[in-house]
Amino acid sequence: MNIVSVAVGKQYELEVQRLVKAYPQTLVITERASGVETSFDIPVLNGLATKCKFGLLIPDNLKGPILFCDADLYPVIDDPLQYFKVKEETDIAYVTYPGRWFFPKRLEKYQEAIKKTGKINSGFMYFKNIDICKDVCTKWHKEYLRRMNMYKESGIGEYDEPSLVFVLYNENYNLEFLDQKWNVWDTSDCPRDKAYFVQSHLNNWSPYTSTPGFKNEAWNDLSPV
Amino acid sequence: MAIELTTATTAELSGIRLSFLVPTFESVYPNSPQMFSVDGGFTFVAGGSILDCKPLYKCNRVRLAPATIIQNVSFLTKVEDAGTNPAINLAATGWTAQQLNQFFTDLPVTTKTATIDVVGNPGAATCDTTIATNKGYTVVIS
Repeated sequence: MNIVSVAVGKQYELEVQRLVKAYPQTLVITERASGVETSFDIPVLNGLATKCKFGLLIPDNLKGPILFCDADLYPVIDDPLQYFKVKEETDIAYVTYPGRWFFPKRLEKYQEAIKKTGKINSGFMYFKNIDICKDVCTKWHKEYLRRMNMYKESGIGEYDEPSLVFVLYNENYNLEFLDQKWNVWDTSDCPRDKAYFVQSHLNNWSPYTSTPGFKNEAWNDLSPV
Repeated sequence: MAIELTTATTAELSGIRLSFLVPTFESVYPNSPQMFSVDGGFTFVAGGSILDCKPLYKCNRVRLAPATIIQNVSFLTKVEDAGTNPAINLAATGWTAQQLNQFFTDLPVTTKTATIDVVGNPGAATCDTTIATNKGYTVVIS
């Protein structure tokens, strides 16, 4: 399994060391990598945009599946990936946020899209091969930039997941939803002692509280035609 | 002449500020151990038979425990999500659909990104989420 993470910024470079310690083969994309996004004034947005295009920043000749892990994701049991399995026909797999979500009217297209994709948690994502990974990342990055540029005057920033929801909604990839244990975070319903991987920032730091105006939700549909 | 205080902050009358008419958090919940500062506002956990939301007008996130009577919900004007943490956490508070619907009805309209988590409540599956979504909130149920 090829493991990739994006760690743009000192905090993320610190946090990713937990993942690297468990899986030394992890390819870590830092701010020093070629092709890292720099078009935004806000560093967190550059980090997210880099995450959206991570598949374009890794070698083309990687064999086998690609596993993307957020920098603050780390295993809490010994080598959990030995248990990782998806269906033969699965192209892309990820954990979704639990619960049934009901959004305000300004997000009715987003509401429609998550019926197919689920509310994606992009912190742990499987891609069957490098071709699928690159295709998705090309579209994901393009959609993220499109959305962020439309918000530019308002100063709002969005996390990466709504863009990915719209991309996968409009594509025909075989999607598989993984058990919560593969990505447990602070507000998850999955008990920590059942977790395989956990997402948690270090030192009480959070990109949300450290970046004014930063939203973790689709702010407006702005969906592509 | 009676003056009705209609805002959660202050009212001006002939240059005299009437902020003392809004109870402070400390005066209403003097022994609450679960209040701390987040992003310049407060996250607050409350419970008991009567919950008055008026002192929570500065809160940007609230977690509400079971209460028989909830008052002044319209004062929750600053609530907003912080990442994956919902603006209003009502998870497993034991509320019925009627209580949830009344709470949604009493909420002010929001222009922020504000999620109401009602997962684990007896009334979650049957409450009317549109009351809240029509006011700009996102609602997550089990």
